[in-house]
Amino acid sequence: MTDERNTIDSGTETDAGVSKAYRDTTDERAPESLNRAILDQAAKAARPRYSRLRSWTRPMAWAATAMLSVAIVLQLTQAPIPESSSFGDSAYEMEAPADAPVGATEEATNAVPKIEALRSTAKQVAPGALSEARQRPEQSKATVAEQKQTAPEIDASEFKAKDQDMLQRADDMARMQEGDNLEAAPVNAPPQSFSADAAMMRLVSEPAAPPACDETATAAAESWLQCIADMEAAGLGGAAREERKLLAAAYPDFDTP
Amino acid sequence: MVANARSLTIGTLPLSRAAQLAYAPSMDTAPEDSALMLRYRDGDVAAFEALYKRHNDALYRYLLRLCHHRDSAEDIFQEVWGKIIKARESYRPTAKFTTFLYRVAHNCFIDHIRRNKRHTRTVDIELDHQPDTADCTEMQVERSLARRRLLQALQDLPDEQRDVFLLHEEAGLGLDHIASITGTNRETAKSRLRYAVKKLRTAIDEPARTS
Repeated sequence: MTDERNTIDSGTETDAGVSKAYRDTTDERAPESLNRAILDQAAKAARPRYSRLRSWTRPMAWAATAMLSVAIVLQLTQAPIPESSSFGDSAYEMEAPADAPVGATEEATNAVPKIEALRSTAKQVAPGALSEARQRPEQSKATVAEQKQTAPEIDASEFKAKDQDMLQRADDMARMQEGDNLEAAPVNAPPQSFSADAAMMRLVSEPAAPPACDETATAAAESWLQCIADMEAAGLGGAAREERKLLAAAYPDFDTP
Repeated sequence: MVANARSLTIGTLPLSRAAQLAYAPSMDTAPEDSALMLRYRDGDVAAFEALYKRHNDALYRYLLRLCHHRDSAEDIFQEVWGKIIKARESYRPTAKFTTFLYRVAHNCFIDHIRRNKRHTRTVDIELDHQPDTADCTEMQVERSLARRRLLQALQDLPDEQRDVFLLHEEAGLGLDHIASITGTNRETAKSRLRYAVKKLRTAIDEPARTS
């Protein structure tokens, strides 16, 4: 400490006698209590803020939060639209209670124009779909029943049949809203609730199949005939004629009028 | 006293600038003290204890004789070391630790004076320990009287001169470092030190002259 002091130039600033006299007075020391307080403060400041056992919690929390965020974003952006091929499955998701049919009717009312627009679009997209479906002789009732037994195997023909069923129901709903054939509403009309959005999604996702009688209607010759009559009443003469041919093929002994 | 204290910093650097320099010194290094400080920064408390024991008494005397008031000196002393402890994270061994330490002490003293506007020059420290009369020889009495005269003359010095003298004697700093700490240039520090030594020499020699 005194090295630098001794190197100060010349003896003009320093005086050995003064320095020696001053050093004789330097017997005062810092109080021990003060020393202890400062050393304690230094020791306390040097201690780690978090213990080692808990040091991993903060990075772990950040990592978990980041992973969850990424997972949620991926789930929201890459999740496919549910492949609900059955119209009925999605149609009845919003099924209203029996004592509240008003809401369902309003929903169906809103759905009718949309469905009509989609129907025309679908016909433009797949104009030959109707004839193609009708030209398949093997798509008889027996074949449909056989496919029904092997339900777990997804088949495009099953989808088409169900889409036909859906379109049939949409037609029925439209007629009911127009009020021109309330009595002719089919037995298999959807109950009080109609998920128009779900039906619209199906119509957009796949080309619409031509109207046809569903499996319930074709289970018996009488109900099938009734379904054909409904189609004729609805102005679907071509589809009704096709249905008549199928009916004649399926029930050759049945006397059709 | 306040005016004197202000004049300590008016030199070449304003107080705020001097305070910044205290925490970002840029002069030569003192490896041992700096090494201890770096070890303390890394959590070695024993290194700080060694550093503290090396400087605590000199710093305490510096503040005690600068303040003339024991309680104030102890408060400032604790404040200085508290700042050193806090500054350990940002400490870089680019300066001599002693310079760094006494710059902090000098600025704390200035801040203390500013905080206590009614700072008066009351002296509550004993100028000398009276020697025991039983083994009191003539030489001891003479030495004791010389000490009293020296300390009295030290108290009578202007604050700037006393500050420079104490930095020179207690901290062992050269003129460049003293000038840096007090915010003056080298020649000013040299002049103040020369006047201080001259007055103290006069005070010590006064009895001999009178006799």
